[in-house]
Amino acid sequence: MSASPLTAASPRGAGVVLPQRVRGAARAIVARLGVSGIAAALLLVFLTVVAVFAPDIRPQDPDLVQLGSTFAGPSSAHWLGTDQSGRDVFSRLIVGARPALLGPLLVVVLATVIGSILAIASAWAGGIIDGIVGRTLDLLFAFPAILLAILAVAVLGASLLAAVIAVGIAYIPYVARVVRSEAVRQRTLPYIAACEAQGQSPARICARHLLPNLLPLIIAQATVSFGYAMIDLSALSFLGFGVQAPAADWGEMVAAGEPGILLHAPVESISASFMIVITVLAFTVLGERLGAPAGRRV
Amino acid sequence: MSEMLAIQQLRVELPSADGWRAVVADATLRIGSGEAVGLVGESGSGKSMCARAAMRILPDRARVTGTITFDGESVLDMGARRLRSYCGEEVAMIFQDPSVHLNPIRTVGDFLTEALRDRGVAKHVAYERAGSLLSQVLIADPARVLSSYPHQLSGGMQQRVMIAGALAGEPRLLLADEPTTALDVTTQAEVLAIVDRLRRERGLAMLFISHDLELAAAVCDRTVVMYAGRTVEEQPSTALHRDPVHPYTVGLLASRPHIAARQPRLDVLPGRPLAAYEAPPGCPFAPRCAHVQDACREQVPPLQEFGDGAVACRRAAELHPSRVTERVDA
Amino acid sequence: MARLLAMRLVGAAVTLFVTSFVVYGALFLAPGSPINFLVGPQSATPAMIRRLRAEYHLNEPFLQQWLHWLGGVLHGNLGYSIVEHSSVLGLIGPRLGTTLLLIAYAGILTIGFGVLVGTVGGLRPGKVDAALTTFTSVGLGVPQYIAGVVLITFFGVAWGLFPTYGSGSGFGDDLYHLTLPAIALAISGAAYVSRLTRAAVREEKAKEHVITARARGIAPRSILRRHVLRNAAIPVITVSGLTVAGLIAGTVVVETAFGINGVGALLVQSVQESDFPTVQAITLLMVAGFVLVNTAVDVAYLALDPRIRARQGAGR
Repeated sequence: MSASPLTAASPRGAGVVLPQRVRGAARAIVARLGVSGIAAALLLVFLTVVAVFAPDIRPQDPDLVQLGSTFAGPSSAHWLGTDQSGRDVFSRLIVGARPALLGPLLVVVLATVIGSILAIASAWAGGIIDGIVGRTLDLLFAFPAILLAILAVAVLGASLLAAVIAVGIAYIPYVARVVRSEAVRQRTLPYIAACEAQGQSPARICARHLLPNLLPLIIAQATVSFGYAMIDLSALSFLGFGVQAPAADWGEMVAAGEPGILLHAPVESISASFMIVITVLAFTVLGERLGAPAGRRV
Repeated sequence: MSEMLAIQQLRVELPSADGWRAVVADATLRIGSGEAVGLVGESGSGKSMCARAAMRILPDRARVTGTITFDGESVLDMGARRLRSYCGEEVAMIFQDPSVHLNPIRTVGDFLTEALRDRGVAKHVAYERAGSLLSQVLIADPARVLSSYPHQLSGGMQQRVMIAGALAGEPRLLLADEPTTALDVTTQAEVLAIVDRLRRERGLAMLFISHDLELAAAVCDRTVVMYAGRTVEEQPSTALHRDPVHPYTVGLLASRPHIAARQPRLDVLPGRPLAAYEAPPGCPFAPRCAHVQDACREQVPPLQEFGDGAVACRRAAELHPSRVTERVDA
Repeated sequence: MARLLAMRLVGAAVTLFVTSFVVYGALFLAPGSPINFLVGPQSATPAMIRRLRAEYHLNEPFLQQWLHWLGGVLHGNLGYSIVEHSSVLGLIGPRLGTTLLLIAYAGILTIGFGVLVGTVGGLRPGKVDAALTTFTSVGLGVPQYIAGVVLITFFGVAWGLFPTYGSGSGFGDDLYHLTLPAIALAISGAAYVSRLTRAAVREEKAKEHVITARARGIAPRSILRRHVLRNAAIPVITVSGLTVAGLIAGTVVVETAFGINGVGALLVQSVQESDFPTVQAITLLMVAGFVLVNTAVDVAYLALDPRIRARQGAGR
């Protein structure tokens, strides 16, 4: 019997630089992410670097008030002009990257950790516990994130922390729902039954077997959630309930720049809006390429 | 017997990331009026695609070449209007898995009367006809079933509804695409019996597609065997079973376990079945054939008349000398 | 069917119940005593304190206080705002019309555009679909307040096509003023609806029962209407409903961005003024609206999809 042409090895040219495994992994990542995914990932890496090194990168003092030149247009001195208090918009934009990225990060960590634990435990336990957790999360679903955050801010005072905690809690049911349905599906697969037959404890099975299989979905979902957390948190800053002035934050800058719009100097609002939109898009695109389900939290 | 459906050198290609892929490479078959023909092959052999091509219900992106004629009229050239009367009134099809082939949010009655109501038949008349159709497929309580949704019915009932739907337009040819594969064995027998009876009562021609040689033989006068998107053999069913010619058919029949005999190992064909686009140049069965020669790998053997049927094997005459002179006495 | 309906309604009622508990209870999470919190930055006269004590039944156990408040709400008494010296209902009432109009306007835009774009994209693969998909992807990433700001900048100030602030007078003028805000509110929702509509139409079009209909010689128009669109309508209606529910909370930012004197803007104002009774009332109202729309969608879903009735009858 002749060898099938399907199994014949295809010749490759010389010049292999990286070891086989790394090349294979890199190729897999490129295939998975696609052009848009890679562009998104690069953008996010760039923004993270900017945020981390912000105090060293920014050309001017973001808090320097110069009341003589408020709402000035772009110039060689101020690349994106100045804001209502004459502060350099470009520098504020750079420095504003920190809270703009940190806030959603905290939200996502909070919601993902708690949501995943609840989801896995609930999917594993099944029965009444699953029902109770499900009902409780259903109740939490009734609260749009912004409203919960506004309530929290009304009670605890405006601060980034209050906003983060409230939004984080509001996102738990969305994470939990996605993770739970996959966990439930995985639970019924033979490999779990095999572990149980070996006498492994539920905690061990969940941690060592179930969780790693859920991790890609959790990460993809977290990536997308990052984008939505950014939308909600920046909206809160826009309302004055998140990051407080004089600290720079993109959402706050959109609001602060509104008077400038009427004066035909919209650069502050527009540039801050632009940063928010492309960051959110990058997270959404990356998350979808990583395999997040297409559902969006409304 | 007049020829009703004739498929000649049919080729069906689907677009893919790597270009056009053939799922049917070269299929030829004929069905005479009132005749039951079995079309047998493994998954990927292209048998389902042939039937769908005959009804022009392939995916829109498919590329079809070759000839398909019905009563002499070219099916592939039919205009939209003619096609709509052709489908349903001249040719009808029943599918493998009725649960996905029935619209889940519409009642059975809606399904059965849809085509009629579109043609202007009054609603109550259409429903009456639907009810009588259900009785003909041996459904005991037509009124209840008419107002039921598909998910409320068992697989066997759903398939009967599908059969009723196919017969509603009073077609002359029935294409049955593995109608019993998705059913359990007992139901299979029931449904087959219904199809067979109705066919004989109405003098319908039928193309019965299956991966099960024996099932096809039980119901059909002639059997056509397909492999890798090509017709490889065609014979009267009894002759095919008694003395298969093409090495593939021989292998298929030989690999059946015998109920009486004890076998330490089953005789299987080495290798695996191919889809048309995976086939190497030359005879598609060459990689697995016990009688392969170099000439086989170079050129595809044409389907040639042999005995009472046809076979696509270069060595057919050589391997079955006694059949060459066989003829059916007029 | 009736049982499922009742279950949905009971579920909604329970949710509202618990929500009111959370909203009311939040008061007690505040630092300092509730009285100080309620009075806020004002100076409190003994009469005021007595009145607050009575209003909020602060001498009684928490549960009873909550029930009093809830009872009041159900009777139309939403509390009294010390800051504004008015009943909360009196503050919300005049503004409710504007906000409801805004939500309705945005809802029509969301569903209208979303379903239209999604259906076209789903039925016509190729360049048209690719272009629409790119558009909707961007639309998904634009927060409502940013959409508002951008619209103000270009359509309002730069090109002067629409008014940028306020809500106008008279119905026609109202609509004119609310156009940009409604668009801002609708953009991301419409993008989402169109995405899902496209997916639903695509999915239905590829379903086997559509092939069955083709094989029976049914006219393409009928197939499209009865088998593709009608089937796709189920998830589309669900998504539309949920998206409209999301518009409610969106009014908060959009009204603020456009300077519209609606309920959303009032919420922001009340937080800034520490006018907690108003905050409570509006939050509860908005959540109630959200829950009601969601429940309506749930019920509609039950009515539209016969499989759900069978499946749900057997439990989740």
